[in-house]
Amino acid sequence: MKPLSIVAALGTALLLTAAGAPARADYPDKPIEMIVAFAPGGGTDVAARSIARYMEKYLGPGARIGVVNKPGAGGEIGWTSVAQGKADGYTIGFINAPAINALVVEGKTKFKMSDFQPVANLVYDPGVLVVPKNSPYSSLKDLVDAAKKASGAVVIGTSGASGSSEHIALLNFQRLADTKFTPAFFGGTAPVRQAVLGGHVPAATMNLSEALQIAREGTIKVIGVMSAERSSYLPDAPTFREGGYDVVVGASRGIAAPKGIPADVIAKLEKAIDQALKDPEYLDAAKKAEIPLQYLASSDFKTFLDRASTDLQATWKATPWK
Amino acid sequence: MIDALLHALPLVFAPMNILAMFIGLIAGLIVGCLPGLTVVTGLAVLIPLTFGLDPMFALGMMAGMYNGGSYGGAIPAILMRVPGTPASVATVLDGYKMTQKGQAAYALQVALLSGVIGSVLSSISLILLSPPLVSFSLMFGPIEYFWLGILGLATVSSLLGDDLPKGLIACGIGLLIGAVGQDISNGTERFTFGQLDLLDGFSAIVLLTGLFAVPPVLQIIEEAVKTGMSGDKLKLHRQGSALSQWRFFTPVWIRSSIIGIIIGILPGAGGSMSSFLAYNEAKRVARHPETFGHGNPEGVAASECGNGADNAASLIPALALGIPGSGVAAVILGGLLVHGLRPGPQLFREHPDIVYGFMLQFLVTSFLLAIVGGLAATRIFGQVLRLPRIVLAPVILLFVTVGVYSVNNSLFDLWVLLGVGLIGYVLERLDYPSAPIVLGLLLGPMIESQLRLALTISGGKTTALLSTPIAVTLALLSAAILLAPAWRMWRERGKTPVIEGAESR
Amino acid sequence: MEVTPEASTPQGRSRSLAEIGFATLLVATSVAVIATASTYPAESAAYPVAIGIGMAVIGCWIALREILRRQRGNPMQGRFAEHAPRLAIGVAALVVYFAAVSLIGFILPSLALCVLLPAAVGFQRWRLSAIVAVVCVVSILAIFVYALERPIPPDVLSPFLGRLR
Repeated sequence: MKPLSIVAALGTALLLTAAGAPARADYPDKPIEMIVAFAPGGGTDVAARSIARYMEKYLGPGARIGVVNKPGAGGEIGWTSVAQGKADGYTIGFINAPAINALVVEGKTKFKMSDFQPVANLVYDPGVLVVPKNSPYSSLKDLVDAAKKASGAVVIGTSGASGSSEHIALLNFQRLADTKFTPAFFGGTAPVRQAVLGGHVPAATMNLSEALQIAREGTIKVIGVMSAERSSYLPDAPTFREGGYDVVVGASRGIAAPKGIPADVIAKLEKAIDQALKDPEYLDAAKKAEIPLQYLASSDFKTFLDRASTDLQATWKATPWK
Repeated sequence: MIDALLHALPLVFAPMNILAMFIGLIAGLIVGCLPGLTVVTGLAVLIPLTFGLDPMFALGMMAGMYNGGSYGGAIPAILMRVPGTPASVATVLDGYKMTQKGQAAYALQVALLSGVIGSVLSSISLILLSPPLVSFSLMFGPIEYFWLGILGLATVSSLLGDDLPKGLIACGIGLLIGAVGQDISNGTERFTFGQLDLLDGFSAIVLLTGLFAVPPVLQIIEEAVKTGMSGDKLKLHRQGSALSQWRFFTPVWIRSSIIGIIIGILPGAGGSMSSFLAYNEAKRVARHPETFGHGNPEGVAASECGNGADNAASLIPALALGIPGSGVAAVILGGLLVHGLRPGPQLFREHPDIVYGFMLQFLVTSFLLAIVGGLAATRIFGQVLRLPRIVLAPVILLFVTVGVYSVNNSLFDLWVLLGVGLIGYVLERLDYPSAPIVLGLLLGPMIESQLRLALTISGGKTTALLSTPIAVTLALLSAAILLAPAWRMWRERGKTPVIEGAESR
Repeated sequence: MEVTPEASTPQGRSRSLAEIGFATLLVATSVAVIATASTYPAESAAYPVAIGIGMAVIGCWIALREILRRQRGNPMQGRFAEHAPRLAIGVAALVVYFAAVSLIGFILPSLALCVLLPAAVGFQRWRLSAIVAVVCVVSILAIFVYALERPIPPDVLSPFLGRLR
């Protein structure tokens, strides 16, 4: 190609894209950007890349979803770019409640929860409280009694940082139990699991999916699950509610879009996600990996997010975590 | 176990699975040698594609990619002073100097062979020693990690260079940069100046790339050499063979492999630490430590061997307990899960053929790496050096730019790269050593956070820091390493005459 | 007792001044670090403040050492830059390149850099530069964008690239 013809081709290409307003009947007619607010290889990233392949299948022939990682600031950078994205259905992203709600409640973000249009929730992974197998504590009550005897003497390791969903769960727990625990922030799941297995901390919080395997092996004991009902993956583990403390906290992963995207586009995405989650091949992989899938359609997902925000506001008022 | 290994053999050597290992190796070499792309990125893209495939095929690709990627990082480190992965930074120190001395091919061969030896020993320890190593790794809590960090920092005394205060400053710069970002235990934002991009601190890969890759670009421009390296200098047979010098390298290999394996099985110690600590140790015990950093092949051998030994070892706690020993192991763990392979002791009972097959794949890919890497690295990558040097400057810059951008998808990081690069250039011209910066950067955050965790758990009692045998051992070792040079100096005081005016040598 | 290998580089005093200037800058930075960090809660401040103090003291040591040497008429030898005009070209090229990448994306500035930078310091084999430029950019796009779906800076050409898929 001669230089001139390259310029001409470029010019035409630019004109074409500028002129072609998105015809919604053909949605999607160009690649959809799926923003992940965490680095490649993380749990959310792998979930996104997996579901993206199956969503493409059900969005129609030729549909393409590109996963774009925008990690940093505990997810805030990526979520900001979802909130500020164009509301045409070509920018969607994964949001992780209640971490995202917590950031908004702290009041430093450039976005509000109302800047997002919830599309569908995919995963709900309840929090758990675990102790080493030879621990003197065998129930929540034991732990609370010990903490009441010497306030702050019971250390609980958490995989998150200050303000993470686990930390907030702990704050709620100690408020309801009227005592005080000392949180130790390990900043990652691997180190906290190692610490509780090695008996370096007397107790720890993490998500159910992260505790499942070692709990089944019996090397740690799950003394409380932070969900409304017992988990089918670990039916022997009691819930916090059964112990008399109404703590329901979990990490969720769902897909949202910038607010104002056309209703028919939401419907299309919603349907594709629902179908993808029912795809036998995907379902098989998810079951094997014991991913706690929980599909919520757009309206239910919105209710769920609203509830998380209200709860967090109440906690923030009583015990600000930062 | 022998039974399981024998059963796994036909699986491992099935033609399709050998193909998988080759694909993984080559993909790993590519992502490894490009700065900003890591094995983690490669695996993240790969895993969803393996959903419907046979587990052994998928695992073969993963094993290949892990081993290929760790050597891939050494290639640009040696040829262009661009650390392809954070773990290859220690390789830069001597590898690039060897290239400048016209020993590029030899340096690549030393790196490859050392990496292979490290991975082989690591794979063997994965197959044979998993249970005892797992219980050893569980003995490490915050107290032990704290002392491990101190031990690492103590070995820095051997890297401080000829000018003590400058070495200390360099270390301090690394420690300070490591302190940038949000304090996870109370949310305090340290030195972020309201910048969202700094909340998680600087990305290590961005800093290290800027520190090591940008200054030589400026130097190439200054020198403006318009010719390339002659093809002759890239031929190996003129430069000696690392294989025939195995006696010379064996002590380095053994020490580095042990260090790599120990760091590998500890989830709280970052992966890139192993190559650095191995390098430190090699320099510390060397008869002529002053030759390190000036093109000593032992430096390359130690770094790459430690790096290779980290790989399979980081899977030991991952397979046995579900606790990944490194970022890559974490992703591999995710990959195992989608194939229904749930880590833990029962994995060895329920799927012994697959587990031992996977371990064997690690071993096999280590050997395959010797072939693929040996053929590809010098014959293909090395030829880049035949380009006129001045043309290499923009080429390095292009790859570094796109790589750094893609780490966080952020333009901010490009400016960090530029800033750090310029500071790096000044530091270099004023003889501030770069190695202590890296060590400060890697170890500082670990020392601070683990110390605070240890004190939180003990309720503020400092005596708890010396309450376990491992902690005491590590503390004594650190003290010994710190005091050894002082002791030597005191003993040799008066023996060597002090030469005044040595500056004008 | 100092062993300074650069004593063999060309004579000049620019390095001695740079030495003092940089050490002073380090001290200033350390003081700023201490001042900033003291506003943090004690547990977060202790670590950076401790490092800052250490750095400030050692920075003073380096600066004073060089000042004393100058007074004794024995300043550190050697020049700071190997070739100052070309260094200036290099730094300018880097700044312009990064600014251009932020504004119009990766592809065009990279092609320009590969050709213009070597030319700016006297490399005249245009065809070689051009080939290298195209090969590099194409292989970067192939690996980063198409094979691994990694992002490149927002590019004015990306609509065009999207059509190539």
